[in-house]
Amino acid sequence: MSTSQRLELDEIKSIVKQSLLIDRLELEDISAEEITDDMILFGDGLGLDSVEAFEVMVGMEELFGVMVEDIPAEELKLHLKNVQSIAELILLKHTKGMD
Amino acid sequence: MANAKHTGHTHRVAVTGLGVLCALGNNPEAVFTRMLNTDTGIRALTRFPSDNLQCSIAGELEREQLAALMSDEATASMDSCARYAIAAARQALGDSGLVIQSFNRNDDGLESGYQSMTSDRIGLALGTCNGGILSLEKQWDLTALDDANTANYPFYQQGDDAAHALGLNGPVITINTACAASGNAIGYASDMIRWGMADAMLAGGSDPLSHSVFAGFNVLRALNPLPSSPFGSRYGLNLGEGAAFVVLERLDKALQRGARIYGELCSYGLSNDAYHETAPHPEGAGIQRAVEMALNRAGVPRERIQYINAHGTGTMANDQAELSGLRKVFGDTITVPISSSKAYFGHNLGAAAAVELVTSLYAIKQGFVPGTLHYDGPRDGCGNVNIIGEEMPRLNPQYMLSNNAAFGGHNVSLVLRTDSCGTEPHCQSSSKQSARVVITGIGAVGDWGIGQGGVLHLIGGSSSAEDSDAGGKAPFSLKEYDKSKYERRMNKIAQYTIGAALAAIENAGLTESALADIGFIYGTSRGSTESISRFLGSVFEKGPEYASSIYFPHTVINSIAGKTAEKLQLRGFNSSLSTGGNEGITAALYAAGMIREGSLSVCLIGAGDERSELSDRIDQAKGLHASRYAMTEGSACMALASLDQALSSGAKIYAELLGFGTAFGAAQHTTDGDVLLCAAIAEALIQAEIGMHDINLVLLNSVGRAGETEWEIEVISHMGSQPVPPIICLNEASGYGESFSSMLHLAAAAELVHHGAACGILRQQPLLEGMRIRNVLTVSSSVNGSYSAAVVGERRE
Repeated sequence: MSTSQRLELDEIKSIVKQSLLIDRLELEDISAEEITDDMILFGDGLGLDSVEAFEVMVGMEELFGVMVEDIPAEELKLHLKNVQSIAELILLKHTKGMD
Repeated sequence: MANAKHTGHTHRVAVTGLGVLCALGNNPEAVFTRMLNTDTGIRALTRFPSDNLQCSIAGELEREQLAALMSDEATASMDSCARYAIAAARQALGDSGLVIQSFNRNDDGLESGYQSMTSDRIGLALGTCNGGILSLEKQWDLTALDDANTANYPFYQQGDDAAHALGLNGPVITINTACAASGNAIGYASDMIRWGMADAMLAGGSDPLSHSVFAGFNVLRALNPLPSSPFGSRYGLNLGEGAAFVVLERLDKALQRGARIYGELCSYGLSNDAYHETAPHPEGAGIQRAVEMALNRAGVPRERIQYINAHGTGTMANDQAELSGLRKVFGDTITVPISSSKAYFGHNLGAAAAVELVTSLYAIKQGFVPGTLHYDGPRDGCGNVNIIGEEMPRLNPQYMLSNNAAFGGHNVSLVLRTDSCGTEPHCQSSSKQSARVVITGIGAVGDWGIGQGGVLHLIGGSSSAEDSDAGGKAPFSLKEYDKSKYERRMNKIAQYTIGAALAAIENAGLTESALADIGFIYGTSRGSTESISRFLGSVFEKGPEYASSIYFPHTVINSIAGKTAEKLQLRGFNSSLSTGGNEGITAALYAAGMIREGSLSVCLIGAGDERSELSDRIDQAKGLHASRYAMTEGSACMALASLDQALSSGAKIYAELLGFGTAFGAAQHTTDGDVLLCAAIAEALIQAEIGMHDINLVLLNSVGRAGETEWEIEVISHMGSQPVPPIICLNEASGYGESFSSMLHLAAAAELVHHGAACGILRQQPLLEGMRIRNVLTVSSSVNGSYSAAVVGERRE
């Protein structure tokens, strides 16, 4: 992973935390600093549920132009595990998109 | 009127008319013919563009049939929801052969005879998932809403418009329990007949196809891009649209007039999953409780059920959960034939139960039961069940069940006898002594905070506030009051309602373990308009593909009752209703009936409102800005119990609920209006077995528009009692909440009766000085001219 990609990854992670999770889901009880990269998002950890998962998916499209509709449900669950995996998916989709 | 209260005698209920409008046709025969041909109404979507959505098919009404419906000029000013409902209800009425005679034309003798019924003895119960949402979609901009369309949005408007178009003056209600709504409406309507409040009811459901609702299901990934196959290989549902109605009628009267009888509605059950706002309980525990309650109430052993029309949406979550629940009732291997009708005409949401029941009853009359179109063998979790495949088999079931489940966790199950035209008695015992109903707990949340044990000290009608629990003027925060019951983004009305429910429960001394079995009946005319705005805003401003999944579940206004049930684990008999003003008394009437007949021993009732920009726009459109009272928000709840239950548990008894009355369609300053308002009051007095002279005080929940309150006071004052008891409206002090206020008045009545005197709790009432308050009459009016009355009295020895 190059330095520029790492920088970009960090930037994506911070947008994911603030705009995709806290603002979009109106999480009133946690700050971006408290959401760690590896915090489990659904069920335990941040405690999001299935309805919020769909909001995250729509938000990925709206904020990053990333469509996840074609990804099978089980695989998508792995991508939506934590901030790190979401940011990696976004970066991967962007990289692929540029190819 | 027939007084069902004291003997406990209940009337039996026949289905004597059917009407339907769906993707397969606009009458029962046409729909049946196409079902028999294994035809589906799921076709390419034409109503709105489906670009960027995952599904582009739906069960739309055929273009010509829709055009014919929309050419009816008499209903042109109404929302499509009401227009669909009226078309289906008219069909059902025509099919029944009943002729409605206006209640005030008894003496002209033109229509007398077996086939006629006076309009005050027939009412209407409509179930709808989304009310008049198309009236907002038409405008597609929440910042510039007009009055004409916006006035057509409220849920109760649909039931009221339909009842008005048909000229009905009996009990009218709109049930809002989402995809279980029309099943609940049919059940409620049967209660009205069983309990003597009406001799016949039109009952059904209506939901036109909505662009934003389609977008909501799309974002939840619930839609199937292909025609759905319930219980089979293709996961996901198709949306449909339509309306269906039945005519329910007293069985003895139907037989007397030689009516065609499609079946006997033996009973029904309701429940709440108390699990999640959209997902069903994974083991189907909620639908299991609804089915068990229906069978128990009907007195029909499960072995007699010979056909089950399932909810069967086709989604991954629903189908296996539903069968799992049915296995708990019918055994691990279910031999009773089961089918889902949804692949014929899609999921019709609030109309689903009614469309499925009407088409099932018509098919059974022809000697068939519906099949499950596109069924190609069981998916995971759907094995060992006798699922009927594509072909409709010949079958004459003795009894059938019809089940539906909803967002908000509400479930309904109907039990019908479908052989021998319902002439032989089914197993229900109909001569048991009816229970007496008392009020054991009061809780309320308003702009004054939270309180319990009464409401007068809270709303400032009090002469002293020494026993006040009020927490000041800051809006109530459930998060601060009880964080364990709060969750992220919880809307204001859910917070108020859960707060009021907690207060009423504590006041009634109900333990947490008792809550799972008690009933919960809630009234709200608008739900959370803030959440609804957020969802519609996402669709209108960003586009349907960006619909907000987190706000979509709150577009159905039973979500308030559902969230309350979930947080408090209220898993028993659960309903949510709208009347546009009489929610409090209507919830009390419903709960009291259930307790009287012995189906419930304790029931929590509640009503609530929420203020928002959208709510303010609706107020303007409905003419509520002309009310003399300030609009307010909040929620009030009460615990009701049978007298035996209250005595055995040692609960404090505030008062006894002695009688109820209701009438629809009372226009102000008209002779008919006078008669209808008096009729609602007289019915309550007759049930209570007292006269107007026994009433010490009238609490009048008036909407308060110009001339309205004066007219109401004038009519009540002339009801033959001298001296006239004081008539007080508390809205001057508390403000007006469309749903909340009628519950506040009822709670105040209980508080006054318990206190026994006005002194100390009701300010400046010289007429009441030194008077012992034994009986309080509560009268409530709705925005559209519906009146409800309740007599609250001292517990009689």
